[in-house]
Amino acid sequence: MKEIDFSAFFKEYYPPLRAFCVARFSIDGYDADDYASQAFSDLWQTWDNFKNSPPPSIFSWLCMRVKSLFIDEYRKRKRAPDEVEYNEELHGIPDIDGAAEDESYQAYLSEIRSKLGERENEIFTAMVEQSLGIDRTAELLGMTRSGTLTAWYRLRTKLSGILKNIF
Amino acid sequence: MKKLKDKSERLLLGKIIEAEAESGNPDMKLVRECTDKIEATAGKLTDSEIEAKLAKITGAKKTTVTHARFKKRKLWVSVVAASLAVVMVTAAAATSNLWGWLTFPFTRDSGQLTEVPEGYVGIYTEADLDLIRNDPDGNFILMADIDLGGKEHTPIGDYLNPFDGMFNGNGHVISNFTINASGASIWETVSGEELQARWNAQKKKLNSGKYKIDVFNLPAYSIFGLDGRFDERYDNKTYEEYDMQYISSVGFFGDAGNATITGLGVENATVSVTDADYAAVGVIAGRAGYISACYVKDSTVTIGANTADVEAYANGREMDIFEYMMKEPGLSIRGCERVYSVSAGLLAGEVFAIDSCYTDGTLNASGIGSDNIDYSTLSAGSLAGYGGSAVSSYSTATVNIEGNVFRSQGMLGKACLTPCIVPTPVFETLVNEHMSGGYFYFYDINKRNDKDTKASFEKTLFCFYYLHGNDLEDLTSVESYISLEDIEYAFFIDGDGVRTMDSMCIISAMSTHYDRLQLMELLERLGDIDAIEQLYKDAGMRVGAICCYTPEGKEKAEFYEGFDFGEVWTMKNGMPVLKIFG
Repeated sequence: MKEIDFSAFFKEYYPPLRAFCVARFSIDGYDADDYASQAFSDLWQTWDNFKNSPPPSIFSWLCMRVKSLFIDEYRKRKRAPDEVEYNEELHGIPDIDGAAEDESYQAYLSEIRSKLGERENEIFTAMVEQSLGIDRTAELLGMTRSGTLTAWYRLRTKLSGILKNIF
Repeated sequence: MKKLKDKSERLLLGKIIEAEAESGNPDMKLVRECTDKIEATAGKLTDSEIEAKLAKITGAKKTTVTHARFKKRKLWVSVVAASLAVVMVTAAAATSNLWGWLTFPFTRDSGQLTEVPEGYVGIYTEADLDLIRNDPDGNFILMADIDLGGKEHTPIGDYLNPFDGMFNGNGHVISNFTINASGASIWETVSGEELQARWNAQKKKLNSGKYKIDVFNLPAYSIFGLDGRFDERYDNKTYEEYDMQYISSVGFFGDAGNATITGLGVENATVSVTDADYAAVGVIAGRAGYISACYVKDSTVTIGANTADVEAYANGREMDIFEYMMKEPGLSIRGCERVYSVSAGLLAGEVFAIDSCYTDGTLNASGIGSDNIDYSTLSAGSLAGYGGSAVSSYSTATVNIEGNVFRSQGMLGKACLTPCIVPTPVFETLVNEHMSGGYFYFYDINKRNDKDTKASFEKTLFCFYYLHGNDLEDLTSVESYISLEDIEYAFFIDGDGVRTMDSMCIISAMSTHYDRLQLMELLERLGDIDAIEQLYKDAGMRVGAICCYTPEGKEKAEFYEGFDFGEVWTMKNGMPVLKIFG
């Protein structure tokens, strides 16, 4: 496998990671920069272990990393808000799934669901709505891991087409 | 309301990216699509802002963090991060995709190297080319343009000593050479011991770990006229003699089936091949593994395929080659109808993968088959005659092909759908699909009892696996997925550890006759092509000609989707040119 240049990787993958933070955690760009920067900082410190890996896989790791950072902070704040040792002001971090309960969001999901088949709806619910990941989705739906992956690959292609129509 | 809808959209897009990330092999095209939409509402960073963030991170010491918010983070976070890194490195190794294999760092170099890098031997003159012949496994870098002055050039690497190394053209050009060669296959009678020794040597070489590319790992030969089989299944018998037929590979490099060739320009070359019956012909190489950031221009390839001339009968009945190779023990075979299989292209006759290349010139190919025509094929392509993938490339070459046999032409004359390197997730997908649906129909030798009638193809559960990089992790994953109680044939290439006696007959018979591309082509021919193609596409694999163009009317960079105009290509006089050539 080729060796990846960190700088080039950063320039290419920082924006999508930042966008992921904005969208997934419902935070603004400044907060998203914090999480994305920290994740890349962690990556930089162990770059020797990653530089021969496929970039999309590293991006996967970064996504999981920022999610971990976010949840870590959120739990900390919920558990003992007075003891959190931040120097800066606390940001209004919402419930990580709170926005999903919004009526408009649910209507929006219904619009998408109506374009999916039965099995696709199950995969969509588990993978996208509930963010269960491949292994738990497979377990929940009684499928093999590879079968779930295949189903997800197909669904994402379809979703891509649906999103183009909606947006 | 508009804002709320934006929020809903953003959340969904975030969850889609998360689901992609969870899969371990995210489709970055989809992710970027989502990113664009999110940035449209959340603001986009400028290049200078990204540069500043990069400088902050890479300029920080190992224990420094980038933001005050995280200054109080505990040490365990680092420990967890390191653990995660180990886990993810393992996962990453298992989720490589074809695109990753295709894009080489040197493709993205912005200029020529002026010093020979460590591990390479510099090629400065025509005489230095012999250094490659003497070390066919070495790494070489071209440090100057070489004008061969119209001389006759002998291809570097042949069937016995293929060039298996790395050749970095470094943005230099080799020009003005002529090759006149016979495309007749090479025949050789070898002893059983010799054959076994070659087979073992090949396996040992591939298992050495050096051959990370691992493309055409099997020698391009077939066995004809043997009285019996090279088959360990029945009696482990070794026969005294074998008639070997080798492919004739003609080009600047002859047989370079495991090699990587990059950054090389070839100009004013003439390659002429006659009497081809089993040949791969190209300007840069007859057979090559990977070709990237190369071009061929003002060059001509002319090839004439020869008709079959050997009658073939078994027990008084005509046979075809495939049947011959799968014959039952003890069946007397006196010969076999000889067909021709010729692949020709401006870059190479056969190549596993092409990335960021272009060709200009002419290819003339003609072939005449016998009256009772068979499986003769003549594949000619403006990039390559036969290949797994060609991405981000274009051609202005003219291809003329004629003959009364199966013909094909295009950028890739004939594209093998199946990439030789199958990453683990895709392999898992394939196995799953095969085991649930049985896409492939395979010749089931165990069920063929009547030796005198044509065998029928019976539906057989079947799987295959290409082990890349001799990765034991992958090998383990194979073993965990394959239960020989569940399938009739497990098909393993490269690894010695997981072969079974049941599969050996197929492996030995097929691998001695077909090289990898041919093997996969055969499998696809026997299966449901559309279903297989869809399966690969669903799995995110890039096979066939992708983002390949004829540039007529495309005078702007935006017409070339998939081309990297930042680091690889640049527009010059309305045409894309490779930046490394200046």
